[in-house]
Amino acid sequence: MEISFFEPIGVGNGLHSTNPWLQEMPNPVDRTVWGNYLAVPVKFDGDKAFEALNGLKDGDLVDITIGDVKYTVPVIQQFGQMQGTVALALGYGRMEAGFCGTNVGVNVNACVARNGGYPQYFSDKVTVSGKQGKEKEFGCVQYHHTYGVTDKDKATGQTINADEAATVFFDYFTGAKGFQGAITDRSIIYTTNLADLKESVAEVKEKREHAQFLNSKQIYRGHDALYAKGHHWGMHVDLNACIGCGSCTVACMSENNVPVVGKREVSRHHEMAWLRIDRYYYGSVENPNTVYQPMMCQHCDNAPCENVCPVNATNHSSEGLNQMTYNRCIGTRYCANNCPYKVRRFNWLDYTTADLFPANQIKKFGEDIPYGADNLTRMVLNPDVTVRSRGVIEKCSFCVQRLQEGKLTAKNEGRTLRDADVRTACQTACPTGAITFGDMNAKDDLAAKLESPLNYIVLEEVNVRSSVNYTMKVNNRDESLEA
Amino acid sequence: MSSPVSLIREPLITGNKTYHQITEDLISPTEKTPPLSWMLGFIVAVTFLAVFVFTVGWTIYHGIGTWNLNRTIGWGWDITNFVWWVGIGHAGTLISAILLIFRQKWRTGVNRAAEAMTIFAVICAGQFPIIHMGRVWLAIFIFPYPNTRGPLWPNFNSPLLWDVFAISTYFTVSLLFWYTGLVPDFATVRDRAKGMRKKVYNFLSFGWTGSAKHWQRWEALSLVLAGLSTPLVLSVHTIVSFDFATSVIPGWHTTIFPPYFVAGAIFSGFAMVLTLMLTTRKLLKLEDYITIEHIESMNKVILLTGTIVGVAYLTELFIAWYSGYVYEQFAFFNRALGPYWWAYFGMMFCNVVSPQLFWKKSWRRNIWLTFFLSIVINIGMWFERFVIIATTLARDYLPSSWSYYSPTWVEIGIFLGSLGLFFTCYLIFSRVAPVVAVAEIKSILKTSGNQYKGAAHHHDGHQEEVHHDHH
Repeated sequence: MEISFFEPIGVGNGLHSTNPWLQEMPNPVDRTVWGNYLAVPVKFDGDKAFEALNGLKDGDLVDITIGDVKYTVPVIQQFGQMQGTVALALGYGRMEAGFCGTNVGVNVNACVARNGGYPQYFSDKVTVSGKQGKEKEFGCVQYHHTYGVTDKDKATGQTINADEAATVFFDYFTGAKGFQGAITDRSIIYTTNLADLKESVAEVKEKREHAQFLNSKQIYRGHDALYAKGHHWGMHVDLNACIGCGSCTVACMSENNVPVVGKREVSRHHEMAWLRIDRYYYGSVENPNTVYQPMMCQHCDNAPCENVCPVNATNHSSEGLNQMTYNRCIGTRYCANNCPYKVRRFNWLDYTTADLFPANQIKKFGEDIPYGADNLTRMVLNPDVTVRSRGVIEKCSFCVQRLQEGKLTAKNEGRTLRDADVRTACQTACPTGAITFGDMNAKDDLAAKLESPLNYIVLEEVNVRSSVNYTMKVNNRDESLEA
Repeated sequence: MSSPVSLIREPLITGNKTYHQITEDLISPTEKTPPLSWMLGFIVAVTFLAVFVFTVGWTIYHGIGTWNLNRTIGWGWDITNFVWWVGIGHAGTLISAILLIFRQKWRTGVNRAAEAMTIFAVICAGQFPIIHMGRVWLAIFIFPYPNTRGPLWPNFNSPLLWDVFAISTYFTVSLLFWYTGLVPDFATVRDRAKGMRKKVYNFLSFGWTGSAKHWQRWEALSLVLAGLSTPLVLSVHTIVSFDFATSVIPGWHTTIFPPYFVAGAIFSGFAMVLTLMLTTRKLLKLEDYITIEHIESMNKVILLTGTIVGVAYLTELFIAWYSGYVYEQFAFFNRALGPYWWAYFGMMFCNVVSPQLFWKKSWRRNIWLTFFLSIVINIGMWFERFVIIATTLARDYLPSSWSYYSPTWVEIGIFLGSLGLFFTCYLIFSRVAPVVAVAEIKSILKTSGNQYKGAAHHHDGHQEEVHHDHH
């Protein structure tokens, strides 16, 4: 058994553990937050279940002995973790790291041995126990990690999608397993290899044309003529460029006053991020590929959230924006239920101290004024963006405040708006240029991106008319070299 | 209303009752000190009502975050309870309106209590759409009232707004219908009362004198209200089903929902009527008015509607497979075999399998079995709504967002507390108003069965004398 240590992209070696944005930014590999989790290898049992090391499940506590020292850490099942190895992040468990970083996770920095002055980010003197208990607050933002990972079926010897077979919880003693295509037949992620590019492009084209044909049969007239005039804001996300680093999610939180909710709330799936990066594994269970999919409000022109709101708190602008009117929202959450992309976020508690709810103003550190209500702390907020109160829904606005600013700039300079005038926070933060934002009606940056035959729209057949295009992920791997 | 006396039909009222005895049997519970069983029941019910007040207060003070709903599952026990309570109400309306139109005379034995159940169930149901709001203090926004914000109207496209109209109409009509029936009975109570009690019941009976003109107007109003209620039996739960059917979520977006919800509502409503009536008839000694015949008739309705619901479940599965649409296929596959398989199994067992016992006549007429199954069916119908709401949301389009949900103590407390609210209302009702419609049951005393005729011979031709005398 070997353990590898790594400095996670969020807190690094511990230097950044005082920053709540980074603590709450999901780790790109295992999607956990607020602490370090022992990544244990997973294998498929050849029938209909995944088995992790020692029969461990997500959130189980284990005793791990590294050298002579015993630590108790929670576990996460990690696809692609090599059998016979485990991994654990450094940089956690700091004892003096301010309000947010103190005693978060387990400190294993001391386990990094030195060899000739060089740190050794591994150890082979490690034993992992069985389940010792359950982590009370398992901070992970994604519970289904795979998009059709393949392995051999024991009975037939054929290669099947193991995760689809494993969607069954109880088979009524029939031996039933999940049906093939349950996940991969969805139009969420398209991937291909460079060698198969032509066929894949044709396949996506056929699927999209079929969806568009069905969508054209709708009995409603729609508002396409309206959106063809003026601005029609849209986005393009290149899945090939996205490295899943999470910069966009942090930029979004900083720009839009999105609250950090802490470990307990994340463990109850109450995270507020307007923009998340869905991470799926696909390909063989032993050696899967990864695809990152930034997912934010798709600003659907046929938005299912809008027609279900009883009080018109969410509605559509003539520029194709799906808008939230926080003042009007009464919090029925119907919009969030009816969102196929599940990008709407509800203020379950008073996360921002925007309201006068004494019950919600937790004085965690015995301060006079609740932490979030302190004038100095509140200077972190963007004055251009409303701070949302408890009980309202919020979601990505395409940085409407930046659009407004861009439009004013262009107007003041007496010229038409260019895509370069309006850049969303996520777009500016992306180190690889995966995100392009702009006016779909203009012949500019975004329009150029929209011409690619690799583009697709997530869940196009639902006919919500999303304004966000994604590019099919293309791998350039020599399959013959793989083990 | 009179029909030939049947030699075959069993009598609807047993025990050779005279009109006076009926008055005595049905009015006297409102005049006596409640028995110990009632007192104990009332204490338990009020305790649960206190739990309701506390947990609702807790929710409003601390926020919906005290529930375990999450970013994926926005509705859980709250809306499950809402739909469950609305459904329960339907049996009362069916009995009072549709069975009236079909001239089902056995309805008179149970219609009063069933209508009361409707009203209390709708009161309970109405709590949930309000308390599930994130900002309950702004609930007024759902009403279309003139305002200076534009004016800004609610969204008439939203099924939640349709709910507001459907439920409020339903409540109003049910309350009027119920109260209209109570007016002559309150007058009967008044006529036997003294002092303050007499004044109160006089007020409640609107000064009813029992003149022919009063009866004529009363009959006309009852008929109008029955006519208004009849479409409501079908429309209210249809509109509740639109909360789901008009969405885009696979497992919700289903055209079968309106008839399936209505059948389920009547099914669960009759189960609740049986739960209540079997207890009430025992405690208030009403075995002569709510007979085995009544119980058997209601069990037949349960068997029919339970089977309709079963066919609907199977149709959903078939259509999901037949659709060729992977989202729909997975939604139903997941319901049966996914993480909430136990809820689906509970629903199938309680709602489809258990009522099939009622094919056997002797089991339909078995009080203990009926009582047991009525509880089982109520549980099953709660599971059905939970399956539809939470299971569907837990695993919808994007696997990245799949999650799981189980309630906190607050949510459980609110549900148990709503039972307290319901039973508090029902127990008070059973002591202040006759639980069987006195005036109406008198009208059927002589119309079914040859038993009264036989009795009349013994009692020297009483029937001529009392035909129009309801007091």
